[in-house]
Amino acid sequence: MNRPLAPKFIKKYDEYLLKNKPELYSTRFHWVLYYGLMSIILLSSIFAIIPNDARSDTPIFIHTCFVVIIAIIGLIVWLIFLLRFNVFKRFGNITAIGRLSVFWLYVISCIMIVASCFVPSVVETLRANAAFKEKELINDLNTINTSICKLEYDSLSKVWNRNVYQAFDYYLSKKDTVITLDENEKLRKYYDRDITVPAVDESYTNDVVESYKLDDEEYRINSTTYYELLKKVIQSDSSIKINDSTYALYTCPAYKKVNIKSYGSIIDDSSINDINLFHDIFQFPKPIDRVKEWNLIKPLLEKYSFEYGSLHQYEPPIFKDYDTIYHDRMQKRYTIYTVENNFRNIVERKYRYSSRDDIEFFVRFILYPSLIFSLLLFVFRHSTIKTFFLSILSAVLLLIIAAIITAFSSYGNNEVTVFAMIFFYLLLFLVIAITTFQSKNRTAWQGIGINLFTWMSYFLPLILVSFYYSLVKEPYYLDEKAREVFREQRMVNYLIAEAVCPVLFSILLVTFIYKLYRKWYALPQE
Amino acid sequence: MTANIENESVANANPSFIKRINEIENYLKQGDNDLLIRRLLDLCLDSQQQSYLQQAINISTQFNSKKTVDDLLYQNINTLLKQVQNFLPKNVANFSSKNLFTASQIKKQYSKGNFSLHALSTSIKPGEIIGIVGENGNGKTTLLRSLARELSIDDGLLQFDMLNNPDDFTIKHHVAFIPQRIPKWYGLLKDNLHFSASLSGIKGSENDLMVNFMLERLNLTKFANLTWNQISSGYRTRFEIARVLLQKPQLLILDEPLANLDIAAQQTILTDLQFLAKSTYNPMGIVLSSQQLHEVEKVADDILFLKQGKLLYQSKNAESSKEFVIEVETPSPKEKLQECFTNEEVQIGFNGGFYTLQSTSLSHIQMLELLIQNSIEINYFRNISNSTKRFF
Repeated sequence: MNRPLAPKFIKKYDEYLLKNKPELYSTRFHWVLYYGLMSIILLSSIFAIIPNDARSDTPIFIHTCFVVIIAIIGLIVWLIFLLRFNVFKRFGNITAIGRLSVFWLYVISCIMIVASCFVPSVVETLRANAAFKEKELINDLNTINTSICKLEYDSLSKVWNRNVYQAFDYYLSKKDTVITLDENEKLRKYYDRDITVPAVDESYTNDVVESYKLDDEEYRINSTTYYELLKKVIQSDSSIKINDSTYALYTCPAYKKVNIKSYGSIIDDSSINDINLFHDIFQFPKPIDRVKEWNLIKPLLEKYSFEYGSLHQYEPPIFKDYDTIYHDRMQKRYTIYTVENNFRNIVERKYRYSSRDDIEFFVRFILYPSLIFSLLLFVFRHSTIKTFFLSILSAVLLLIIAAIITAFSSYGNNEVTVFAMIFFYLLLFLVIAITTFQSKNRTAWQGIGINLFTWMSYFLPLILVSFYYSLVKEPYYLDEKAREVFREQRMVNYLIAEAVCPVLFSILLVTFIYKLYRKWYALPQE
Repeated sequence: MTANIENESVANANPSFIKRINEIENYLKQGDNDLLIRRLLDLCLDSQQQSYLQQAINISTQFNSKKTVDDLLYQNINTLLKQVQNFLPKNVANFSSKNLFTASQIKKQYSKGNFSLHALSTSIKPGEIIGIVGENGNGKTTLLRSLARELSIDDGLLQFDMLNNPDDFTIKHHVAFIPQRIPKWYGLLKDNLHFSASLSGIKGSENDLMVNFMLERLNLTKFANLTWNQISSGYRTRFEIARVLLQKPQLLILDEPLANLDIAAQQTILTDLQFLAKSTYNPMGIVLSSQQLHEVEKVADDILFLKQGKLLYQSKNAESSKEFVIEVETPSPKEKLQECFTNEEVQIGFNGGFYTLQSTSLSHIQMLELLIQNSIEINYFRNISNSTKRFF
């Protein structure tokens, strides 16, 4: 058969598999890998060439949708080719390695198809990384923020914001009635009851006092309240200790005008912050050459004023008071919205795959749909068409039943009910599947049992771990550190379960599941 | 199949091979070229030597391109025959030792509908052919599907003696069933053949050789690179036969294989099946159903006639008929025929096409003589005294 853009080596390999390894040939994995790789190269080239400036708003959604459509077409073509040859349904002998290889080749093929959907975003990230280095971005951001502060020195606010925080003993303070009515009212609203706090210095009575109870259950066990207060003190820009339990915390004015905190913590954490700007410029002010400063910032503002192809234009908000009118003027003078937007776009592209969490998420995002689809495919290839679709229908019906039972369950914890039901279903399907060994005829309900057991058995370790953790709650009564240990242990156990899933399924596939299908599929019909 | 040729004397050869070589030499002399090529291919397959089989395939390809045996081809055939003669295998398959299956009093009733297959027993040995005949809706397909373990039986015992404690998967691996409506093939026809050979353990160069052999043997080479939709239903049947034969089944069950074939192809397929069943490379039993009574009766070792689910007649167990029955086609009216047999007890039946003449006192030849003596014009005549045709 003529296959477009297929070189000789792949045709020869195809022929070799056809004549020597029919079970591997029937998966067509070599074509999926070859065309998948070709598609990835082609798509990468296209997305590397088409105009997509790192500073502009990302068109990744549209690009990804385009690639997803291509991937779906590829998947359908693969499925059509998969229908052609089936060793199992021809009652051919398949070795244990063959059985295992077939399933994992489905998974690899699915991964190739799903992974291709990430080509646009990966290429975009690579392009952003090539266009803008991290150091360059930090330097530019620092220069812009520093220059704005220098140029706007006279106009910027120098007043620090102050908050008073107090830790107090609720029972002790109840006996003490030295507290202003206003304070009492504030705290009453806060705690929804009448309480009293020790009086504070007169000069602070106009401040909003945020109180932290010291005598509640949580405090007695792990001193969380006090720990929280100390954390606030340490994190504040400046603080004054009023008494042993009361602190005035000061916050530096927002000198950093170009801010990308929510988008790129790496750049933002590494760049200069408000307090740095205060120390550098405002604490000991020096005269500046405004022309030189303007010449320094101007090319940078132009560099980050790219608006071509922007999908969402930033509309500056309408400000009414003097400060905000001034703020609005600054936005226009330094095009801060555009510059910020440019930075955010670059950072969004650059650090899309930077953190471990991101990578773990994307790995799971590729792996689990691939696994779920491969399991469906495996089930389809080992059962009759009628039984396969009946299995899907049964799964939907059982899901609805499970949802109804969970909703009306008298047991308070829904999570436990859900996992208990999943576990019950798994056992039920196993029992139904095992009856096949005693059966004289091939029945649809046994096929459904085998199909659903096979599909669910992959996730058995994860189901068990989830069931366990739905029963064993997070120990809220322990201190933060102990809870962190618990969370870490839970995460490790989930990771172990994730690692055990493929191993256990492979063992089950070779020793049990294949025998079930072999027995059931070959049985005569009624 | 071994690739190396060792010289052994003809004296060591199995006598059946010598007979077959002589038979092929006769075809060559008499100019029965189609049959010659097919039998030459069979012989080379049974020799179990890849080089001989390859030569036979080459000869067949050359012949099919010209449809004539020229001097060069004649020489090649003779050379190959001599080579094969010098190396003939001593060991050939034992055709009669063990039954492939034994069905004892098997019954089948569908849960829906009122048809039931009544108790019947039969068995088959390697190399044998069982023909199942009967009118439509009388249980032929039910019986075949039951034998192929496609349908469960309600009672009786169905043993596959060829296999040791087999499960259903193993049985279906060794028993090939070709239904009347063959499921569609996808992809190139040749790829499907390679795949079938491969999944039954024929791999590498042997896979190529066997697929080419099967294509040549069933005269399908020119269609090999086509798809299912590009060939006629007759060729689909042939390809399906080629596919299952490549899976080396021990028992081949065919439901109405002749239904889509022309008259010439029917005869060819039946003789091919007969030869292939007796092949020492892969001897097998064949069970087939058909409406082509005479063609099937010619090749079958046993005939089962089913009527309303009951086994009405089994040729293996039946005594030879005491009654003579002939089938005659003539433009003469029935009255004129009756005049021929005024002194004899002859029953004359007419089904609109043929006259059926039955007699216990006159033989089929005597009946024919009387018809000729009375100047009855006869277009067609057949003795069906021992044929199941008389039950229709």
